Amino acid sequence: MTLMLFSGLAVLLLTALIWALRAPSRSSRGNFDLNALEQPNRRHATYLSLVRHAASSDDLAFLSKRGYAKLQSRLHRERRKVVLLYLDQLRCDFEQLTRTARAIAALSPSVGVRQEFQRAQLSFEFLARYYAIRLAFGWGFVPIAQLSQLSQVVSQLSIQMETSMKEFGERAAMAARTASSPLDGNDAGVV
Amino acid sequence: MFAWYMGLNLAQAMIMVEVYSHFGFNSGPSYRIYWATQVIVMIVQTLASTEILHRALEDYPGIWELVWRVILFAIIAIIGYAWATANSKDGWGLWAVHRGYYFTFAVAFVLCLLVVRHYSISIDPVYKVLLGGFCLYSCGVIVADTLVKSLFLQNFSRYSDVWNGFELLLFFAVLLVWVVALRHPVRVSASSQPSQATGGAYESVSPQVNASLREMNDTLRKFFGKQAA
Repeated sequence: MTLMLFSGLAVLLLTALIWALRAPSRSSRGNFDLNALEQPNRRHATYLSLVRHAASSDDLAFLSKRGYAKLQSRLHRERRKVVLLYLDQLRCDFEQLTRTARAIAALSPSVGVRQEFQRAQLSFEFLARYYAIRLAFGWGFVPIAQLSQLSQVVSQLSIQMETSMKEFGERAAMAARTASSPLDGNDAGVV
Repeated sequence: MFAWYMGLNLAQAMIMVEVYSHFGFNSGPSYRIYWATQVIVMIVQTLASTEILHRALEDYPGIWELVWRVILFAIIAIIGYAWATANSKDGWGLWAVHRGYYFTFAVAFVLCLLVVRHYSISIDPVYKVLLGGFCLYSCGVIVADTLVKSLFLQNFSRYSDVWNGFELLLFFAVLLVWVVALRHPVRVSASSQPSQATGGAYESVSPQVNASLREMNDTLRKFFGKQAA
């Protein structure tokens, strides 16, 4: 029993080791993809109000009252598609933000453990909500309140990133000032 | 430090050959000398692998800050576990500590490598092979140490031969991989101008990301404001 347990753990560790040592894919290598930041379609959270409107039942109730049952079901289907597309794009936004956050952390001379844990927690929270919403959609619900929460998580992350970038900038500026100082001992001021 | 580790391993092997031929494999002095030298080898292994990881992350001081904390936590866990188990009454205390050390070592370094991967940091293949070798050997030792106790409890007479043979084979396999890897030169670190590189990357990326995030935040703030109203 113990042999099985420890052998299993060793196999698990070896699998994790192989995965960790695998060369990162071209897209996820340490360098920034600056063009990705300029893509106009990346801020999908901005469409939340439209999606909220698309997911509301008022229009469907109106069509139902008027007797357009076919149109109502078609509209319902189309709108569900739109909301699901929005959800997927929101996830893309989030992944883009976390990728940038990781790249900034990797370049930063100092990384806050608490901040990184917070980011990991936020990522976990986001994914849990994302899958919960998708599951709810699968069962025919339109959980618009959860969708708003999900957008809020993306927003929270962006605020957190802005703070870390500010700190990062201050440190970089300080390093640049120190490097360019004539009293830094690099003979820069000696004629 | 890696050279020290290799040298100490060789020295330990030579000492043990002498000790076993003089006192015999199952004698008390052989047992004590083996464990005394093994502790030194284990400490040097930790130092060597930590040094390799430090070199690999030379250009990423922020990530190194995260990683050394993981290693420190592992060291504290090993000491605590050793303290609690080494004096166990059934005579397997030292084996448990030995296995515990390699288990904690493997977990800590695999975690460090996962952290490195999480941040998409590309480290030199030579360092990867060296660290991978240490982890592979540790995983093998975990299995070997568990196997030796299991065989002993099943009254298998040649349990020590199996354990010795397994560890030796594994060590030689890892050694072979290390020799092949060390034939290639290690990539020169870009840390000669760290502040300029960091500052430059920040200056080009930061305004673009900031603008995108601010726009995202503003829209969300407006939306939530409208919702509250």
